[in-house]
Amino acid sequence: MNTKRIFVNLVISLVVCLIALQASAQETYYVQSVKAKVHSAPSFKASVLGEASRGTRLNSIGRSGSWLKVSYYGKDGYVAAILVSVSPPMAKHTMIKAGDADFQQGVRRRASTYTSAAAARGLAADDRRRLSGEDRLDYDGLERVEKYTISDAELTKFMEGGKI
Amino acid sequence: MRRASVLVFLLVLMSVAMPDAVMSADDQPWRQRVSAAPPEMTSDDVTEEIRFGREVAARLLGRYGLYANDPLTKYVNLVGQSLAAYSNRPELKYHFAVLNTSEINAYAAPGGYIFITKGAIDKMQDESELAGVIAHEMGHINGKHVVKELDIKATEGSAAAGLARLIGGGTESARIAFSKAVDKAMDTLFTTGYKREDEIEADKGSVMQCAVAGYDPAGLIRYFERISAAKGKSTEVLDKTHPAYDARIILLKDSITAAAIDTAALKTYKERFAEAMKTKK
Amino acid sequence: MSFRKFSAAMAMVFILMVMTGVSTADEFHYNNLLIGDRATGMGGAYTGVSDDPSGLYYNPAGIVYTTGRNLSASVNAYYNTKKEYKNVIGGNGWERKATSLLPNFFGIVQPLGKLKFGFSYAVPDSIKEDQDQTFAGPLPTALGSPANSYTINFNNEDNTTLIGPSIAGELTNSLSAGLTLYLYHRSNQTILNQFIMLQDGRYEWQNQYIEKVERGYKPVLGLMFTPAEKLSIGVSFARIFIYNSSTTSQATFKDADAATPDDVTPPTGGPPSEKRKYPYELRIGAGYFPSSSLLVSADAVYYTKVSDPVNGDRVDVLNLAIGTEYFLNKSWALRGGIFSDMANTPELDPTRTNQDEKIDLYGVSMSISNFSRNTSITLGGSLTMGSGKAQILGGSTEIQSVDQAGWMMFLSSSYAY
Repeated sequence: MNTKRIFVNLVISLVVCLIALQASAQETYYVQSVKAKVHSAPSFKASVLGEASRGTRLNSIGRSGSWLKVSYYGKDGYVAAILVSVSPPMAKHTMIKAGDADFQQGVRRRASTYTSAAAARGLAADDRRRLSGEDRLDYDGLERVEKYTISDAELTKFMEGGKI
Repeated sequence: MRRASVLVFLLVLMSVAMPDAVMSADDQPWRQRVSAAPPEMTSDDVTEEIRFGREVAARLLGRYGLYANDPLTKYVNLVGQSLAAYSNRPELKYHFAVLNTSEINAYAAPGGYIFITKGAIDKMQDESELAGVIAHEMGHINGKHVVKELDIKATEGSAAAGLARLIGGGTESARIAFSKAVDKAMDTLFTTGYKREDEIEADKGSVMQCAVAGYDPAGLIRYFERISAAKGKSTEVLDKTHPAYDARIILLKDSITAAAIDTAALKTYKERFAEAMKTKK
Repeated sequence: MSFRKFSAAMAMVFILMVMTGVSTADEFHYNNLLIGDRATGMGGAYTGVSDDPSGLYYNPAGIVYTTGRNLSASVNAYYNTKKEYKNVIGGNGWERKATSLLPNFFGIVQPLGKLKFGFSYAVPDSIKEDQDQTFAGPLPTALGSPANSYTINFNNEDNTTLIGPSIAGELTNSLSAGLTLYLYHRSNQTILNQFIMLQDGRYEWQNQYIEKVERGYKPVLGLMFTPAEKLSIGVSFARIFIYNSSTTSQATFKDADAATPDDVTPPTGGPPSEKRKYPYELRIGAGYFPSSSLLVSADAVYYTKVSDPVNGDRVDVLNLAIGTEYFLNKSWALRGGIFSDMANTPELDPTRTNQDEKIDLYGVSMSISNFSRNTSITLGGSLTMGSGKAQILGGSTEIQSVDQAGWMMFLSSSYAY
């Protein structure tokens, strides 16, 4: 019967389509670290083919332990998997922005240097008793930690093995 | 018809009286479709993660207090930022600080906050040991262990999502949910510990992270060997929340071998570390 | 005039043919509308998968494996079916079209402790059938004069809805069970208007409507078994039980020789014996999950034979479906499926009259989904076609061949939170 033939044809084309799709799977990765060395083998001892900078697109063709096998200028190379991820690198996020509601809330809370987590949450007296002093929040200290920066020049010198 | 109702009754009874069966979506991971995999992180998610991490960080600082020693803070930041340059999460600004306690431990709060106790630094003998510990904590942040466990993400703003929320009804106010999540995160850090596989991932990550930044990854092994000897109050939290050292040391050694890392060719910066320690009171 | 007498009068007019209430919607098939967004794209081969709200319909045990904490899904579909009966009157064919736009499924799954609860609404059958045809004469009649024209207007609406709660839980690591208890409601309204203008100036006219309402329930008991990694076997067992059935009808008939029309009012409602009997439905399905982006499933659905002298005997039916789902990446998925929808009516016997039509249907379905973080939107459709035999003229042994073709398009969304 004609319908049956159509039916069979549809099944076959469906299967062929799926096999074709499955075969073409390949993943794209992006370098996230400032730079990533591409080695010729999955080893730090292996020769270095080159250095890919942040944002470089790499097509992965497999994995070998902590290493990702990629094609690099026509050659097979290996890059440490911890330096890449599947989405392009994002811009740096900072929490402290003018008019940021949460930050303002933080400032308000700072009225007393230490606020208990329970009070910040507006919990009932019972709940507050349950929480001990270990639940205090130190926003002052947090801001000191967040504001601490070191200059790029200092960091570069340090990374090159220089003294503090 | 009567038979059917008996069947219904039995089934309901059976389901209610069931033994401790857990939801098995996790038991059968192969059922999971790729669409259900953690979605790509959005900028809003990062902001939410930082907002959450700040809260956890403020609690950590509230508990121990900040060790205010500028030269040491600078040194820890220099080591931390050297590693952070090779982080796979460039969207985060990492912050490093020392906690004023003799307890031996290190903590990571989501969003890039890393804390090392003064007690832990006292036990260290070279810079690669400090780098190893920082890299391990960085592994928890970069692996989003807390974020995944507690499902920290921005609320979806799409119209469909809004409608669905309307239908579904948000029983728990977002604020209470947020605070509860912070409580849970503190429990993870102080009582329950991370999942075992998360600790393994962080240890393995530390090896690679140190190696790419030029530090000897065996520093973490030396540090573990030293503190495993220290028993008592100073390591109480650490011991309670982390797997046994023997197993971790074996795993670290295996990772170093597997990645073919020539530890001798990498730096420990023993002198620079000693120099920095002089500034400590 | 009694109903019987009325029928006899109809039979006398040899081009009065429509056996109203017989040709309604699609009680001759069990697999009329595919249910659920993923399931529809996969040709309904879903009993072994069932891990989203549409599982509440196919196999409630499967919802144990839903991944979202709370999941809802809804489907809106547009249906279009065309049936062509060949050589009905003097070489002329008959054509009936049916369309329908409806929300065909809504379901929600919510975990509660160790159990999962669900609630769903499904429309497994809905049709709005229409025929408006005028045949020009001369047409032979048994009324003493050939007809100048014959006009038929036929409208048929038939809707079945299922609505009800579900519960499911895991019994062991590899076995889960679930139950859905649907309330069943079917309403059917048929309106027929026929007009015969004879060449000698006389005319015959008939107007008739029949309304039927059935109320009942449909328990669906499901089991999901995992014999091996990546393989899932689902079995579900269901039946519709009717507890209340009522029929209302009215007819007006003007004989060619009568001066005025005659009201023909058959008894309203029906005796208890008129409750329709439905078959037991056994679904067996297998789902194979070779990777996180590929899924293949197959279903066999068996319906038992029904002996129902009032509403018509039904033979046993076996429907098959095969479906697959492939994720191009994290946010796009394609699905395809094929299925059969066999007639539940017996083979037509050329020596008998007033027999139900038998059309075996085959279909293919496809869909594409886009996933954003918590939501997914699916666009899909299906094509169904088949041919068979019918006996559309009342009181005649003539058998017509019929071609049926239909298509459906749907848009659905689901949300996990």
